[in-house]
Amino acid sequence: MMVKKVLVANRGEVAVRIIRACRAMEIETVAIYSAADADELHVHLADDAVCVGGAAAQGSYLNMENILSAALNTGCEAIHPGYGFLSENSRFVKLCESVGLTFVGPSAEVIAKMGDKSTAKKLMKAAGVPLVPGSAEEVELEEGKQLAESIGFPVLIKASAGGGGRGMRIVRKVEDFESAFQAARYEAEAAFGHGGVYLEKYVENPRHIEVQILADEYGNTLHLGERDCSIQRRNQKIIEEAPAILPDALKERMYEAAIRAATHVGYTNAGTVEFIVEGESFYFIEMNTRLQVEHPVTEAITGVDLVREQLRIASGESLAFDQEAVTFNGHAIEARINAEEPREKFRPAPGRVSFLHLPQGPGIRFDSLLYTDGDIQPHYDSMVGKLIVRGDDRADAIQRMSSALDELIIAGEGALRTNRPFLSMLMLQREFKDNEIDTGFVERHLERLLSYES
Amino acid sequence: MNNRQLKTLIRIFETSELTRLRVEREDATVELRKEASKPAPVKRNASEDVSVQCAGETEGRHVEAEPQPQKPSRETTPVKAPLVGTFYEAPAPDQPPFVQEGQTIKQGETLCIVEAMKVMNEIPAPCDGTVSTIHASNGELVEFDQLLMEIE
Amino acid sequence: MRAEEGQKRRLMKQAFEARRRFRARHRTYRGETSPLKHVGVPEGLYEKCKRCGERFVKDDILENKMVCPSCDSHFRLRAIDRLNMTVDEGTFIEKGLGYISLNPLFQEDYEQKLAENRERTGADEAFIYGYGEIKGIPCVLGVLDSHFMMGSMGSVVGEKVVKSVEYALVRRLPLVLFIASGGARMQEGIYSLMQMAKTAGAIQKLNQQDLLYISILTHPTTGGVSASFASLGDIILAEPEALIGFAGPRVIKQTIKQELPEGFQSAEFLLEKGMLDKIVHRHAMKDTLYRLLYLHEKGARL
Repeated sequence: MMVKKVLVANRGEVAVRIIRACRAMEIETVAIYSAADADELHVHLADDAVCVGGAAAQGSYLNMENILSAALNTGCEAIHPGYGFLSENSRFVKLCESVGLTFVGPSAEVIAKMGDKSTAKKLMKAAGVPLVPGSAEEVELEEGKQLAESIGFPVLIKASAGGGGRGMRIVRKVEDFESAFQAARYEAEAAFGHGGVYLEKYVENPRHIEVQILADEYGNTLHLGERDCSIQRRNQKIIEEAPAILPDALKERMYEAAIRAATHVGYTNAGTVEFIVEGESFYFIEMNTRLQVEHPVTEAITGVDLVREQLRIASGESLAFDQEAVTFNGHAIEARINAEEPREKFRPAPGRVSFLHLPQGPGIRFDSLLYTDGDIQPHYDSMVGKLIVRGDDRADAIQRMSSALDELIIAGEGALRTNRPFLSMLMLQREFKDNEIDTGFVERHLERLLSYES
Repeated sequence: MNNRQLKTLIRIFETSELTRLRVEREDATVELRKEASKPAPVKRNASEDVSVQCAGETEGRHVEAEPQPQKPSRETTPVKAPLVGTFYEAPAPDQPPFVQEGQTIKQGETLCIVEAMKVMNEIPAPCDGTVSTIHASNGELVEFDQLLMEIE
Repeated sequence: MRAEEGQKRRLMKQAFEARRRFRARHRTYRGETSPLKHVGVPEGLYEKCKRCGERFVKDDILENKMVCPSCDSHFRLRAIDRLNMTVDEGTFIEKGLGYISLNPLFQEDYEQKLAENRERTGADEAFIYGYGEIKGIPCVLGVLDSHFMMGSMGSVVGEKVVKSVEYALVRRLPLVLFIASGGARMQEGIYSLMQMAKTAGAIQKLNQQDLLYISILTHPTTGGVSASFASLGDIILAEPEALIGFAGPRVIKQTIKQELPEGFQSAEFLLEKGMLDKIVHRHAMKDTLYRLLYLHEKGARL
């Protein structure tokens, strides 16, 4: 039986997205908001809204007790967590289960398993999913050297007790191995109190390719194709596309691996398996046990409403279609619109929106939290909208995206800036049009990209 | 309005999610209110034509623009809800309320309870004074920062 | 919140509000939830810390070793919980089973009270002991459970304490006892008081055999227990802010006719006055015990 009332445990454009999907299914919605977000679009669109805390996310969007209390007291049957915040918090999912609320997503155990990097890797290995080659455990100098040679340089020496780049060294030649090894150990000991290190193949500037998975509670698992999210800056995605321009055989292998991964862990609902691709090889990085920001590009080429499917699966319904029914049409690109100033190291630049003009036309979609006279809140991340464009092929999509970005006006008073001109510039780059993209793209061409006219 | 119409009205009201219902006609005015569950007893009078005017809180919309629908007046100290839960004016359903309007209270005294997840959270008075207005009603869902009472 | 609000924004809000009302009036169903689902908070899902009032999920608190994550207040433990967080998994073998308390002074409610306590706690008395390993080091462990009749010492508790000492003597193992008690059990009168002498005597035997005895005083440790075997440890540890005393503060005040000092009868106060060796936070207890046991092994070196 379809759930009839859902609490949307998020804010911003994803909350709006979920509310719209619910509306289309005649599901009542309850929004939550922090004291700072009282005037946000999602609050006004929902059927009901409850203030759950102060501006700081810790006390509001991450406040499990207040959110559960709000859901129970407004008669909700389910909670949709969106992405970020509590969407991958297994403790929250367990609490939902304890009080009888349906969590729109996989189970607490699956989230916990895939959330822990080492458990996830072990599970993937058991499922036969290729991992980044490396040592499973800590190594000593000699065995490390041998392993490095068998993996092939460059390799990465990483501290096992911590991260953040400390206790980490890239080694490109076997001659440099010993000194790098000792240096990494020494640094790890100093930083984490434990000098253990392990080895990993270093993939320089890979392509970031992810596969969308959908699974119901009856064991039916299918994939909805891949997305190419290589255009990133500091591990933040900027442009996402579907499909990825890759050999079909490689994609088939990735689809199989993704489905194996999902089936092996007993995955339900929507999820994404992330890989890095170098040449003809692909390696598992992690699995995101939630809806992703870039889901619209998959929706654009498959015609599937992912949030609707999430709600249906959470209501206990089986998948309405099988793998054969999934077809891919055309090419879609998504550009993330952030309220930031790219020329000042991309610092956030929120403000009040005084004028909004949105591009329209076939294959143009704009998901955002913006509205005229609305304030962009400084307390949360700077993404204010996503422009999604679908074309017959990649070249067509790029051209349509360029023209859509040209038509988009987000004008504000004073401090408001967006990365729109930066994105326009990106669409014009020859390397982008020729699909010479990888995770190092933005850094490489940064100066050129910043030379836009505002 | 006759007895039967009245009963029908009460029945509809009871099974709906309205918390207040006011029916005005030439001869009679009927006002029904709901708290935790019981509808308040009601006046009755003669005949026809019902024009129903529902209080705008149809689906229990708990907020408009600001989190507090009422703004504190004069120089009063607000008592706001520190969490999301159900407001209770008394320690138990069969006991008298903690405080009443006009009552003198001391700082730290328990004014009310906000129950969340079956845990009773006592809300202490932030200062000495008199309870000037109680804004929240018994059994109502209160949100974070919602104005519960004012102390002067 | 800013003072002035845009006119356009108000327009949007009013439009959405009106449409919401319209939608509500034309809804095709009225808030029925699935008949099979039961939505609601089960009792006991959340608990409040008695000291600071912070709420937490009951299951979580066990992971934190029953210590309030917010104010560090150490909650009372059941014997089983204490054992689980102290001994290595699977190494505890309970000894001294089969003792049943009788009613030697024919006290009216005693048998009923015993039955209630047994039912509620699932234990058959207030003391449990056995063989266990702490990080691989074997020892004899005993725990007084304050949930069973306030951890009071009657004949069975006294006898079992002595039995734990005898077991340690026979196997030549160190003895580790966790104390939490309201004192001697009133219902057994003189039999309870006698246990004080009995247990103290047993400890003396341990001393004579040069065997180590560590006692850990937890909240609350009072009465005949603190006045006998609890205070006879070679090393006496305590948990933070535990109440440790003999008589109640009111009685003491009336007797000596003086105001009691700040923090009287707290573990910290005792430490200051030299009555304890160390206060150990529950999270550090296992490691501390391990180190102490290790250092007392033959040939151990720092």
